[in-house]
Amino acid sequence: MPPDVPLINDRLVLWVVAELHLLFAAFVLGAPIFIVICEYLGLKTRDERYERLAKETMKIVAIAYSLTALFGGAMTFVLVGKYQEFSNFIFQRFYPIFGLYALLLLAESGLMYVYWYTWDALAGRKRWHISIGVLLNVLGTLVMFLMNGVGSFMLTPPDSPATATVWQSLNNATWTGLNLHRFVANISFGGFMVALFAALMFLTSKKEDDRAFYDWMGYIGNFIGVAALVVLPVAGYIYTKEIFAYDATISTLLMADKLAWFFVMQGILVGFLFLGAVYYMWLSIQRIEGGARFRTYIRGAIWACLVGLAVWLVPQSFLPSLTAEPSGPISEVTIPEKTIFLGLMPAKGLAVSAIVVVTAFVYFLYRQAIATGKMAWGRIDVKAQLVLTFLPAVAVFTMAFMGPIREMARGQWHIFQFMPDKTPYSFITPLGYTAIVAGAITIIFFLLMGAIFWLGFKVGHQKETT
Amino acid sequence: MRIILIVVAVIAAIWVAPVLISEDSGLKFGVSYRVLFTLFVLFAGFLFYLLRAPEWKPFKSTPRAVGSVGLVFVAVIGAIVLLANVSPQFASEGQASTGASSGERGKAAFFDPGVGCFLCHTVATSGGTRGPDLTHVATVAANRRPGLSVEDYLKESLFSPGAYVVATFDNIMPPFGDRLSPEQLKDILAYLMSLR
Repeated sequence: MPPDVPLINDRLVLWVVAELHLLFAAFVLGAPIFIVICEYLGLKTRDERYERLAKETMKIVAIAYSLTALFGGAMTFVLVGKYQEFSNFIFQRFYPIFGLYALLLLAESGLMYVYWYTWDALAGRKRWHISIGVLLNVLGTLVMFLMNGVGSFMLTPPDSPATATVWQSLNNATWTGLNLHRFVANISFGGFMVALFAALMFLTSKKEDDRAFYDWMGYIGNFIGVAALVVLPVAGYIYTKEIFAYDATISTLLMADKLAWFFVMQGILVGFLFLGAVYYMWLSIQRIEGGARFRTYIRGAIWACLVGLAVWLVPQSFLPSLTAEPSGPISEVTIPEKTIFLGLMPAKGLAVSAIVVVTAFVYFLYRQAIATGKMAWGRIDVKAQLVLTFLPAVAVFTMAFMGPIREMARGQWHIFQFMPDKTPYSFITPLGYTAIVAGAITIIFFLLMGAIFWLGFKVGHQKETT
Repeated sequence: MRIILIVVAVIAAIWVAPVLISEDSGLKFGVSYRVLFTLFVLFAGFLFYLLRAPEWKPFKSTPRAVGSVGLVFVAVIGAIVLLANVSPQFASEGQASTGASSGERGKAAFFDPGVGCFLCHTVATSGGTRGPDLTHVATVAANRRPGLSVEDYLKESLFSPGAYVVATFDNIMPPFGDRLSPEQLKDILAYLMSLR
């Protein structure tokens, strides 16, 4: 085995590279769904802004695609170099799947370039162009499903993983849940990222027309991001239920042992996302004629979200693991007897449902406001644009934070209860350390996205205007 | 001003109420909970302040606009990382593994869901009830099977659990001898033998 990577270590290198690959992959999978929807809406409504939004976003996707491939290659390189036994097994086990993956990836890349470079050429045949976009999304989703199969196999392999058929290995106990969760999450992520680009462009624009367009773009991006976010807890619940049904010991680790406080943090992050979305609506409804009359209801909704979040966050105990012993009296760090129900799943489920329903209700109010009053695009409180930068920051951190939770749920196994992880790093990292790594990954991701954004939007714009 | 007063009043209630409530009421939250609730109330207060804050006009310069976005990122990610670091932490096994005794490693293995002993057996207050309580297993094992030492009896229980099944329990435990590595076996035995 080659020596450990100096200064940092093998696992950290793989962790960062894999997470960056996943974040860029999520963007290049989620954004095209968003783009095709916008292109279709442009055709349907004859509103040219949708066409402009779709095209400007696609420019970014084309550049981000290269970085996805770069980090994917780096991840394979680290896996083969540093985890030879595991990668030998996984590549042999899924040999036909990796072959199919390579073919689909090749077809997807080709189609992505065809979609981008025929944008103007097929301007008169929009339905053809949209069809190419739909096909691109179908291929992208298939590629993701294949790799989800490999990833979910590591946590929930079938009986006798060494002799199971390729289909049994792929169609394992949590494949469906992971596919559903990632598909919905990618759409949400794509929407929030588009809203981020719009906010940046709004904040740096000097012309009223540009501000009006980017205000509208941010609204659409946020709308799609939140629409998918509302469904995400259901997808997450289905996925977690599949894990629980597969092996209850994993559920104990996730919800009652070392990873329990990771889920308290996850509750805070998801709560931030919902509250941020509702706050954006609070600010932006002001620019709709007569929209202010809905603010009383939105304030009520914020109250309801806060109560829901408070219930969601109440932990069963402040002990970091099942074996931890309190330094003082146990009553100081465990939930009081008569409020135990607040720490149990039914209360948490009810709290999350309330937050989701209230957010959907606020959206309904917002649509009502748009239907009855004139929208003054561009005349929005700048704080709303900062909220649109807050949401993707939290979304990306959540993704970078939830990734290791899924990986560490395997405990000391590369493949759960089949192939042990014999490296010195087969342990669950503490919450604080995990958050630092997730924070670093989030910052690296946004620095790279900033560079892409600058290339795609700013340099592109300068070229167009000169 | 009204928001500040409400926040102060709620925080005061969070800290004063437990003084007035008796221990037996089953409603008294510990200090850790009170700190969490206080942070939550401060956050809620900040949110309601934002609802009332005056409108911000577009930034006059591009560096200021970009700087504001950067500030949002740093503040958000910094706050989350800080919060995660003040939350309950377990010791990193990566650092602890070298110094931990066999019994400590055995305890960790006993409560490791990947091994799963605790799912059926209780030690002190943690664990399941499908199998016998092991809180004092080393004492109990001394007289359980005449002629067998504590260590031999525990080994037998791990390798051939059906050899002796405690009355009122079913013979449901699978043999663990092949499931555990020699090191894990040694560590778990050391832990069980320390439970007197």
